[in-house]
Amino acid sequence: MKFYIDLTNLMTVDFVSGIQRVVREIMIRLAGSDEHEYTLMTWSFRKNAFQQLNTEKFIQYFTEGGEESGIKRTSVISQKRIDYRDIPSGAVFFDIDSVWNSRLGRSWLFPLLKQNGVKIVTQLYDLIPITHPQFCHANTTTNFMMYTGANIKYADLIITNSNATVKALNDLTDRLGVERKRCEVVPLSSDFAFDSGSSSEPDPEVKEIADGGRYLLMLGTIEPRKNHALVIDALEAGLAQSGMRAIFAGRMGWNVETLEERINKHPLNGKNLFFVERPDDATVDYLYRHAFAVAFPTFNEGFGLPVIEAFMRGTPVVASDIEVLHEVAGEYADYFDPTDKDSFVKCVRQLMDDPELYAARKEKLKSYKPLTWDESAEKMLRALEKVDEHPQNVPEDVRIKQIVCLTARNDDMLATLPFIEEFMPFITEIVLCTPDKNVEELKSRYKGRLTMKFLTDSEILGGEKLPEDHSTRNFFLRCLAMKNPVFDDVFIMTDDDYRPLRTITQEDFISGGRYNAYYCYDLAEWRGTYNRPTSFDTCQRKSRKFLSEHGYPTLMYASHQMQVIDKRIFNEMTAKYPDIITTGVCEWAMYFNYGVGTYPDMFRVTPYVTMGWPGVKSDWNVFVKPDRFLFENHYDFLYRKGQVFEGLREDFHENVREENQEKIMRFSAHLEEQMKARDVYDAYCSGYWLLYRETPSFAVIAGNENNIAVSAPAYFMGKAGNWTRLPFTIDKDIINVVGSKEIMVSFWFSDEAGAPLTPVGRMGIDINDLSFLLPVKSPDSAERCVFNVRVVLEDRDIGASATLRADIV
Amino acid sequence: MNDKDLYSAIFDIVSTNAGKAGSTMEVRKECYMYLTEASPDTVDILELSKEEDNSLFLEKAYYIMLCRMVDKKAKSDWSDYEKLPKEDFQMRVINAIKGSEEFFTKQIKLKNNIYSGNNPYGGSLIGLRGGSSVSVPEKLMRTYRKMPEFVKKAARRIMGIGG
Repeated sequence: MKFYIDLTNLMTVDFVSGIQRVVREIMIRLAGSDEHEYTLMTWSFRKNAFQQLNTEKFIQYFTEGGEESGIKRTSVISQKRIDYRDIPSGAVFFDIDSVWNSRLGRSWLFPLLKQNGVKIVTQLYDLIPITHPQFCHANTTTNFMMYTGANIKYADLIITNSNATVKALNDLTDRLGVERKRCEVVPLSSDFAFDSGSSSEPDPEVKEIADGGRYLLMLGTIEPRKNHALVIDALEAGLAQSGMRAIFAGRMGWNVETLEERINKHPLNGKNLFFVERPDDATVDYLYRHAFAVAFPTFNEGFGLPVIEAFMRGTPVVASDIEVLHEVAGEYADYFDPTDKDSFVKCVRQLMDDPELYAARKEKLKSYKPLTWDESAEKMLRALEKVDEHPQNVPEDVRIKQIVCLTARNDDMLATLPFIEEFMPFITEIVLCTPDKNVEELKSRYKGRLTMKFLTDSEILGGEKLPEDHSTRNFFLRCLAMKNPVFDDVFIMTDDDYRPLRTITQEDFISGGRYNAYYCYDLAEWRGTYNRPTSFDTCQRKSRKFLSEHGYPTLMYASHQMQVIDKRIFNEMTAKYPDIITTGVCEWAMYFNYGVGTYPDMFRVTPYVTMGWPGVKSDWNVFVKPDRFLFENHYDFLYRKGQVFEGLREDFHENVREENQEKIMRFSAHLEEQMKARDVYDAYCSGYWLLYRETPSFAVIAGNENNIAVSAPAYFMGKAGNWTRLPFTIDKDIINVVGSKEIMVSFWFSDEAGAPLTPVGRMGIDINDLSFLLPVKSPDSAERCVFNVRVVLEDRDIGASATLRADIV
Repeated sequence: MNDKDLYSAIFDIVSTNAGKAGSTMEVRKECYMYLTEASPDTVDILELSKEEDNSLFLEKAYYIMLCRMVDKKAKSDWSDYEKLPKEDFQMRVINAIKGSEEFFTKQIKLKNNIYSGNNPYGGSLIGLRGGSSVSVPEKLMRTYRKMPEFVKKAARRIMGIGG
């Protein structure tokens, strides 16, 4: 199994306590084990990606005392960048750190991981900000609500440290009316790598305080939930008079200004009441060992580490009478009502006034055997493995032999078939879904080795009427055809112009028990070619709308290549959503996103491997770059003069293998040019952000119902002769307030005198898609010039312009 | 249950729990719901500007740009301006936050900043309140020094500086 763990918080906090101690102890053990693969990461907002940690340095840093190890914390972070899309399908994203306050909100991250087929496991420490928001800082409560929602929606497994937290989570999901989450309970251990034989000495000043008489110890952040006020009340109520003292050790938290003042100004401060700020490990250990008892009057906990830490050092504990502490401390502690100081006083006095009872408590603690961190980490690992328990993989005995194609173009199909025969030896049969009139010609012209079967439009339709629109018709036919027994359960689906480039095996479609799902874009970001929506663009948008409304991932799988389809899953989808059959959605987007969302263990989401999509680099920005090419999406215009495949042959011939290598090299170079232009654009955006803290973008806004304005960047930078796509937004007020529906955007480069350097680009705006990318081709030579934008509302005769300095490099 | 409904329901439950403890939610639901859909590193000012209520705008702007609640002192300082027309108020808030040292460290990008200096609502009100203790030219020089060489060259040419 591959685990990816975000340790941003651990790598940035300067005081390791509470949750960070747990994270540290568990991670140095997991990352140091040979079982499974662990990628430790920290998020960089500057790079907008994760950065991998060096595992050996990480372990050494946190086992050898941090900076005392000789390793700087910053050197633990390597330069290796990990985009969230690099986390492979089937891997596990394990959230063990206190990430709810992270700026990389899980409400944003988890849907993206899920649509890439990544599993999510979260260590949930408690639900206190949900159940007891009054104890938490407003920032924490706000962030925690989003974190909890994201986990309820997307986590595959929740690990908690107590049954009490599982119960709290179940109560919440029941109240929400959603399905309960799969949970595993992994108790925590107690402390540290520290032991009493260490040479580290406690702080002498604190030691002197501790040696000054009996004391109750409270360890941890000073915050309302921990209820320090009760202990002070108890001292005032007579415990101090009886000689008892209290030492609070930790750091001041939030919302404790009144308490802090009370402690600092208390008449008992320095006599019976002490605050030790941020004690080191040796000092904490000393305080524990020499305390009369640890007081734990908390109102709520996820676990209660101080209880275990006290028991391990033979120190009795007086604890709040709440469920989670009974679970952790059992019969080893004494309990009181945390809302009643007299209950607390009585509990402490019982031990103070009865030496035999006190001695019995200490004696009993000798039999206390908590988990060690090694044991806790082992249990954590076994719990993590359960996320992959009973995966519903593709059966091993699946054999693909059939290709299915929906086509009305005999010539194209016949031109593609020899490529299939040559490069896909495991395919023995082709099913052609085609108009009735095409069948005879295909039968007579095809002389190859494949068994050809037909499913004609009339056979598919069975009397139903064919929709007019191309994409509606396409999906409609496919849905009906899928029910036909001539299709195998598992087959390759293709169009008539997808051509394999080299030998392809079944493993390119099914591997490791999963169907490969080749994606090329994210539908949420798809803007089409020039914002004049084609039938293709419209069906992608419809698919995005349906998928996001129904909670499915939204990747684009119309990758213009062959893909494996499991007919049973397709039919299950159309049975579940019968109305989609006539809505003209994309069959690829619907099938794969439904499949990944419903059967995540059966799919591996992976970048596409097609050449010729986009056909030309100006069509659209590449979203994910293929790392190899298995297929060609055939466009005959690419073979014309001046195009990328000029001089090469389109048809199948005896030297096709060698020529395909040439095609791959040329197309790779063609794609590389687009990526280089993007590098210039990325540098432009980075530089712009450094100067203005903004990303360059255009917006058209309405002043009132009679005027508009263009908001533009301060300057533009582009690569000579290349395309850039600039974010452009039309404010909805243009439609709603100004009342226009005919918006035209014109744009061109000119010299500083105003003479045009490029033709004027024009784009009519689709009022159903007001956020788009303006495709701008820079002048052919590098120079300093002006970029002009003019927006005209043609039905209102209102216009506005913007000009900006442009640097062409 | 879709994401939006889920986040909304969680807020309602937490709000009820706070009420039972005699407390109230400091964040408003509209602000919280806005945050659930926000990108972690890019703030669309055009979208944010749709907020009609100035005090809610202030709350959203602080959360989305500074990742925290508006503190009591800032809230009190801004209350004097809340009666201003929406665009005026929004521009002041955006430019004040943007000019602050705290925002500088956040690595957040603003998009469609209609209140930027060279845009229709921008202009002379930049940096009216708050702001960094570092002066603007000095801050620009610091950022300039961090740029790659070819970006520096382009920036010099755009600004008409020789070299």
